[in-house]
Amino acid sequence: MSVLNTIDFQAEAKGLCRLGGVRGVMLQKGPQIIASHLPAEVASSDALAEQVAHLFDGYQQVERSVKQVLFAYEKGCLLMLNENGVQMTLLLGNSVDLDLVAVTATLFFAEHAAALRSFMPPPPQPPVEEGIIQAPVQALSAIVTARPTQSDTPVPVTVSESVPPWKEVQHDLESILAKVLGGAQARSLITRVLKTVGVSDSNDLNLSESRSIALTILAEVPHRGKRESLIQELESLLSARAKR
Amino acid sequence: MTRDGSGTQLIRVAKKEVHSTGDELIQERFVQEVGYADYFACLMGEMTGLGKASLGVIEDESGQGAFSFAQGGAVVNGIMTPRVRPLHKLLEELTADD
Repeated sequence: MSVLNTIDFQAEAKGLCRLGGVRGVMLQKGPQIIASHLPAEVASSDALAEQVAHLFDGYQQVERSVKQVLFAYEKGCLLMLNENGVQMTLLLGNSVDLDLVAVTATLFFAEHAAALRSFMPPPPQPPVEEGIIQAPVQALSAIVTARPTQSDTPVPVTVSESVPPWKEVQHDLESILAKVLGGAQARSLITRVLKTVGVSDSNDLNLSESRSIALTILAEVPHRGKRESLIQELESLLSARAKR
Repeated sequence: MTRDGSGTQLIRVAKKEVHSTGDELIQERFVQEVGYADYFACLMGEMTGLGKASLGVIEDESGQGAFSFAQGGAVVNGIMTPRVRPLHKLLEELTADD
């Protein structure tokens, strides 16, 4: 049933792209993609689906039944519709009849309501999350253990340059927290958590400890969707720093 | 409202319904709506390569909330309305005074 549905919806999604100005369509149930027909400039449909799910999940958490969200940008629009836990994201060009697209998408939901409600995502894959989270830390630990001794020949990139100490992690953390908190609130939260975990001198923290404390701080962000996005952002910043 | 990367500050809460009602609850809801939606709008703009977010419309059972960034993102204008209007009308209205 689910395989057949996926095939049908792939064709339907492609069909929606024939509407004038529609450049891409994605259909999902929570973070699980049912069908996707997005242009190449969307680097990861999985990441986009995850954020769409977070967006509507946040509204659901405050018991708001948000049916439609439109974001307009310099180069086009994103129109997202939400019906019975199923979301449709349409990537639109600038010259598009938004109301026509919205009505067509609503009709699509009405037509396929029963099939979409009964759509069952495939069984989850074996857990790999732990490995993904641990991987950067292990890689960085390896760099730390490979710290050159005084007798070693100096190398252009030193450990202190490639591994972010707490100051750099804190800088990243503050910029991430600025999306959900004021600057003073963010600094206060950081200070409070540092005190709670018993850090007297943050300069002594190594990367692994810094990362762990940063995650503890982000765990204080009350909204699950935002929290997960912020954690993801922090991880990618830390990975990017580690690669430099 | 300004958005300067260090959070948002209320310096002007938009025009139209919000301004005319002077209702603090609606203004507060508007600010929260913009804060939440703008966060995802920016993320999704990067992911899709669509660029900088200029406008948002959120529609739920209680009506529509819409916002647009004016003056290069320095000011946010918006509407909170119990009516549901066609998107093109809403967009015209929001971008008319930019």
